[in-house]
Amino acid sequence: MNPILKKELKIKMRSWKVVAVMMIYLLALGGLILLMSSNIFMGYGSGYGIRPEEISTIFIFIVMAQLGLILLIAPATTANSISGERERGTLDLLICTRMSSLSLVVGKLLASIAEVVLLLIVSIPVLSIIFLFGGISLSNILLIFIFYVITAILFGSIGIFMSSFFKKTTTSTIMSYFVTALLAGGTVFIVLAMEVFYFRPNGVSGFLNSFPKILYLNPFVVLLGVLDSFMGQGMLTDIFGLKGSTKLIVINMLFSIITSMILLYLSSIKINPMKGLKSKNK
Amino acid sequence: MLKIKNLTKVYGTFKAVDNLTLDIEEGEIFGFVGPNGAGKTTTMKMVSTLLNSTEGEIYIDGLDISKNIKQAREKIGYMPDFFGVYDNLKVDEYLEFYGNVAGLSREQIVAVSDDLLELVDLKAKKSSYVDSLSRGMKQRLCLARSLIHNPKLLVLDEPASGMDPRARVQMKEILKELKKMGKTILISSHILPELAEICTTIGIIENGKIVIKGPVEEIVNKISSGNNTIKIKLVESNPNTIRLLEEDPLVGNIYENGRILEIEFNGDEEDTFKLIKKLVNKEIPIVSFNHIERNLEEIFMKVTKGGEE
Repeated sequence: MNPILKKELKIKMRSWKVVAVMMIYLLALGGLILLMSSNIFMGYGSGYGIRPEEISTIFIFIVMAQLGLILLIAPATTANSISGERERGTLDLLICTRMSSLSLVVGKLLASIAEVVLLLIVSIPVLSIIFLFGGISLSNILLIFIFYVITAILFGSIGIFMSSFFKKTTTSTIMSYFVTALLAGGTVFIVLAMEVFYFRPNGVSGFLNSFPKILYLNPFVVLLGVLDSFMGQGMLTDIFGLKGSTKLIVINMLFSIITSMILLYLSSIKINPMKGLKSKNK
Repeated sequence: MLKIKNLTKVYGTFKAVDNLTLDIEEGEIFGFVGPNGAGKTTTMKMVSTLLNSTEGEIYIDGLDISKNIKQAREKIGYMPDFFGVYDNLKVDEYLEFYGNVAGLSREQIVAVSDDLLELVDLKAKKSSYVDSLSRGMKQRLCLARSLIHNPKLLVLDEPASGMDPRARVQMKEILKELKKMGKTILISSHILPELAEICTTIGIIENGKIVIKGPVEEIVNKISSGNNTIKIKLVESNPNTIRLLEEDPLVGNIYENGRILEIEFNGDEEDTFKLIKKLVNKEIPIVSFNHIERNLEEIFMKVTKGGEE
């Protein structure tokens, strides 16, 4: 087991913060479900009954909300990973050992992912509400969970990269959330801006004919597309004119994995004080 | 054990270390002395593979560290002047973590950590949380950490900084123990008398250059020769004594403080004997006659101009 992961887990599990994060996470998720379902059950009370499509709306909402929470948590748990060690004065003690700097950053990422996985596990009872009404298979849920984990790896890697690049945790946190916001919101904003200011004035619709490639990077759009393909709700068709498909999730996950690998490699180079030495001596 | 050849580190236009050459033999304890900003920490960081040099070579146990970073790191135990600890980690877990990082098996860690905690006198604190330890204890724990993988070379940057006198004495005793164990140590400190007591060799560094280096005694003699201070205590203040001393061509300035006289004397041991004989023959009422030895601190002040950080 990676020693950094082992130590981080030991320290994190002893802290009250993990329990607090889990509580806040479940309260937020449960609160959202209550809010959504109150409308439905109020409808039931007034004699309209419960419609299954309303339950699936809740499910979509929960899944999207959970992604939103992951995007908030993953950078937060990694944005201080390297800069925190530097500020605490423990980074040098780790670097001057035989452990590679890549092991160090991978250990930090795994510890962060472990925290996200823990949150996903504790949220299973909340998510399982959908099984009461059917429409979603276990394999669908599993795919969503894999997507969550890979998305957490990407945004965790962004946090680690920023943490190794910037010396101060505050700067690293701000930059991590900036990139997260850029991918999760900025991409949609760019597409909409292009549509409004470029395509429509020229009498064409940019994304009604072809799905904007930049949206493959947006985890919310990708997840919506996947849910579309599972439930046939046509949400993406309504918004972007694209029929939901699993192609979206495959491309997005490949992007996440490759980008994470590059970011972790760059982070390991950045924190290695002897970088470039071998080439200098050649 | 440690060979440094023409080591230079440049930050922009500032030369932090300037063409430094050093050779430390196995089992030697080399004291690195110098004012703030002289280049001690920079040199130590380069030796510990934590900083890239601009020019020059460093060999540890025959290994060029720039080409064998991983192997070199296995031979180095580094203790920085500033370091932190992790909250929520106990003393034995702290050592276990660094043992894991050093690639030791659980059995190896268990085997050495008890001995190390005993060496640094922290066995009783084994199950205490690291952040609850005093500064001196943390320093000793950090020293134990640097020893976990049994390195041949220890690089200790100001290991006693910020410690109270008792903790400093404890640290000194540990270093003496390490000396007995045959470790090669490169140590920097501002507590110069302590360095003189522990080190076999010292090097005084200023503006990135070694000003003087060699065995402690040799350096003290070299700097002190023909420039001694003698303290004479009389039964009562006696003007004849001062007149008599002023007649001696080897006597320089004389400072009188009641019955006590402090004189600058430019003679050797034979000359000192003659001076005592002269005073006794003239029936000067002497209570005591002390030759004040120049210590490392005075030598440090004499050979360095005092750098600004």
